[in-house]
Amino acid sequence: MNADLYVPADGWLHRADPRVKLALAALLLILSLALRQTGVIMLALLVEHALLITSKIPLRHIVRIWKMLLPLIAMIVIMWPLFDHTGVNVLLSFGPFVLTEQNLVMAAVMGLRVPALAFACFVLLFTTDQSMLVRGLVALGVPYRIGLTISTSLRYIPEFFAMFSTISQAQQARGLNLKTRKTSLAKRFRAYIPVIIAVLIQGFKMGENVGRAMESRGLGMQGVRRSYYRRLRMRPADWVILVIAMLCAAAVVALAMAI
Amino acid sequence: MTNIIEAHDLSWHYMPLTADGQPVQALDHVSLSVRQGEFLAVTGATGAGKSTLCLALTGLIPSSVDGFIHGQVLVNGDDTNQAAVADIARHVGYVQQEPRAQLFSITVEDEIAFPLENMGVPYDQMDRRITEALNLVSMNEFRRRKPTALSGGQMQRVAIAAALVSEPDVLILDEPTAALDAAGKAEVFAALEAIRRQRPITIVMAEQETDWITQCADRVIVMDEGRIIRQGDPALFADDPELFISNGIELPEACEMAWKLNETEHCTEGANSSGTVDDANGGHAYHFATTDEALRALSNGGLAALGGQQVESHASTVLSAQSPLTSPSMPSMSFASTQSVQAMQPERRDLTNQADQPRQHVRTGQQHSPRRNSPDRQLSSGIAISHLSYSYDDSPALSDVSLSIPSGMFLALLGRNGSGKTTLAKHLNGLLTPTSGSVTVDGLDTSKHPIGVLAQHVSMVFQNPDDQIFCSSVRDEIAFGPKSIGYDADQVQQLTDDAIRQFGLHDLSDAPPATLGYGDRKKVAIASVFAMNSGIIVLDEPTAGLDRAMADQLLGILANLNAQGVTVIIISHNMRAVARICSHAAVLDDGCLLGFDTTRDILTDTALLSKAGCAVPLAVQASLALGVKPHEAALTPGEFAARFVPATRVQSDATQPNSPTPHTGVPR
Repeated sequence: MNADLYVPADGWLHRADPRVKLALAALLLILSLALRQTGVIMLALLVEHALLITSKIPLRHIVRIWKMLLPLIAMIVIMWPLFDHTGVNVLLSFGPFVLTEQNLVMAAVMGLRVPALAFACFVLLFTTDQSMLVRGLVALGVPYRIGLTISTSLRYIPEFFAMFSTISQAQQARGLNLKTRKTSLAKRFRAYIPVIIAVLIQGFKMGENVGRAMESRGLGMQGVRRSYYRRLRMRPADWVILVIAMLCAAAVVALAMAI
Repeated sequence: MTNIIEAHDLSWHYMPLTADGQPVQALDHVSLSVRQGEFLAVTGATGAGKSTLCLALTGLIPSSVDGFIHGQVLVNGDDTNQAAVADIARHVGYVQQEPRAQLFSITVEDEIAFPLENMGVPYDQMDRRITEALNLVSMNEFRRRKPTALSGGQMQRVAIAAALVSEPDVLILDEPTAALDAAGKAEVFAALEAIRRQRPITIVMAEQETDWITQCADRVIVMDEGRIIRQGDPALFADDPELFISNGIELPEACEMAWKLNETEHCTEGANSSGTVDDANGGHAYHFATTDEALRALSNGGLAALGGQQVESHASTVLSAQSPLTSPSMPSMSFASTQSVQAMQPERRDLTNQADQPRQHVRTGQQHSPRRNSPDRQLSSGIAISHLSYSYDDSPALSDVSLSIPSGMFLALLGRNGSGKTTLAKHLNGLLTPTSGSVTVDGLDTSKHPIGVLAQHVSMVFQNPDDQIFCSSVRDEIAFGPKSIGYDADQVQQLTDDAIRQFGLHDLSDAPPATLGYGDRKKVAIASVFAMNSGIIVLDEPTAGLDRAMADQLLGILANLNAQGVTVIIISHNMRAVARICSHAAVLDDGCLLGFDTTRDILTDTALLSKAGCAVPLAVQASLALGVKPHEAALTPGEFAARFVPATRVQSDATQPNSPTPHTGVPR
């Protein structure tokens, strides 16, 4: 099972400097978080998809993320009218659930904010391998240890998924019933507890071993200035991307303020 | 020659495992010196302290591991009590057992670059050094690949390269081949040989693969309970086999063969003389240091009394089993278990009343507690696999596999890593369902029944015991299986007690399994599946990572189960264990079934085994070299000794069958 975050491809975004991509992702995140306008969220989503598709990310990765997010989006859209009762044209109403034209739109926007934020991250994570990510972070001033922690965590995410899958199978082979569809969410979660515990234990042990491996290869050597194998160079194209991104972001903010 | 490593009276205690526990002693006054350029092998039973010693030589103990140290370790002049791990790492490379934990980068290149980066090596030198390191292990063409997409052997070679790129003086390896198949092991040892030829380097390797050690190592130390009990050169295996046997360490095949031959001869002699073992040879008659030496000696008729003459099989202690495809009756050959922990004792024995065994209900463990009333173990009615094909996404894993596994078979699934063994096993309890074809277990089509139901018929243990362990006590862990499949509280209690007794886990029954050593965790994992009381039990590499004594203990329990009619299926690379214990074997290669027959027929088909990447046991090789027909070949050293050490050395014992071969003298 390949649950890697990095998707190797020969795309323009892959070639871009990681610092630019970090900035891009940050801009998209901030815009999606700070602004509520429908247009902004939709624009963010559109831009994110355009970036990924033009950088030759196969559609199935994008679809996979959407599939994972769908339950969360649905939950938000359904729960929104419970708390936001603004709006005049009531479409549906029972008990605390009041659906109006206006808050239906709001619900959709809130729901769509989730993929907007997620894909902002994936614009970075799909196109940047973990070494370049660390390199970019360090070049921006993040201490190496933190950069290493972040990128190693990302590297081991697919490992955790694989572990989870193997452990689920091992536990099912002992009769653990994980496929109950009819019981409540709480019960289903409780059924997974043996798996979660085993994953945590294994994960902890693996973490210890990873740490030892890193130390035994000289991590944290004193009195030495750490060098880097991956080179970073801002090409003219990178500057262009950066400038365009910032201009667009500024324009969006201005428009959003004006409306 | 200077000593590059010196340990002076080193003792290490790990922190207590539980809040109210005692510190666990792992090293006990160890004093050791390693000369520069030496290849030192560290052997010992599971838990003897090999890994701990390796950690102590890298400085990870005491700096990064919680515990208490006494004594001193000097590595290349650095005192591990004072120097930082990173500084010691300039001169010491370390390779762990598990590839996935020590390959944490996104490409092979980055992995090798990491140590160079840490040392501050200038950018323009990095490429060259990375290439050099990768060339040492012949992995340069895999530079851009993701480490986890490689095979086990390849991953460990990358780990070795990463340890070597800093050009250390010492390389410490902790059982680097434990998780690998035969090909992977060969790759790693070949890489180490190549490295030694090109660089002056000191190697310390903890290892259970004693066959390889005899070829590579300059010196061997034997550890037991944290102490070094013996040191010597690899001839130690041949000179003093009892040392290793009594410590539960697996002897190299040739040495085990020699030991068995000597043992049989002394027994035969002793039976004749007046109570005292008359050792006319004044020592061991057989002394093989390597497999080649053994084969040469044995095929030249180096056996006493053979003297180049035709071999005559004496009273065969083995009945040939019927082919499973033509007859559903259980093979009459089975393995008698040893309940106590005795290393190297199990012998193939003939249980002639096997064929009359009741087919349905069998009580478990009846000989020990006649009043106990454990729920009856329902025996299997058989497994039918018909034209099974399976693909993971787009890559085919199994192609048109058909076989029929009748009740009571002890089947080994053989083949390389990636040949489809685990995939096939996972179809047996419905974890995977066929892409095409069908699998029927006890009359149930696996694609039509949930795993929970199939788990009542087939219980499966994965290779890594930590994939299952999650409870806070061994007892709870073992009880989990039977509880999940629906036994009531009383039955669960009985099954749990029975399992704890069978596996000797009584003293540990309240301990948290996650805090136990690897061997005990493995026992708990297998016990917890044993307690599920199913008619079919499947185990993936049950002996991997275990010393010989523990492996034999586990296999003994499985053989006992099998003798009661339970179908046992094991996936194993351990050909010697398979030869000792399995009745049948199925060989997979690249998703296809190459052969399915009795163990004897499979193990003597050397062409088949070679194609599938499996080793041929020495006893088989020796039998065939003697010109014995395949169906009379011996599969284990014990069988070989029993069969081909002639009775002619017994002078006047009337109960021995006559043999026309005269005694021609003892070879030296």
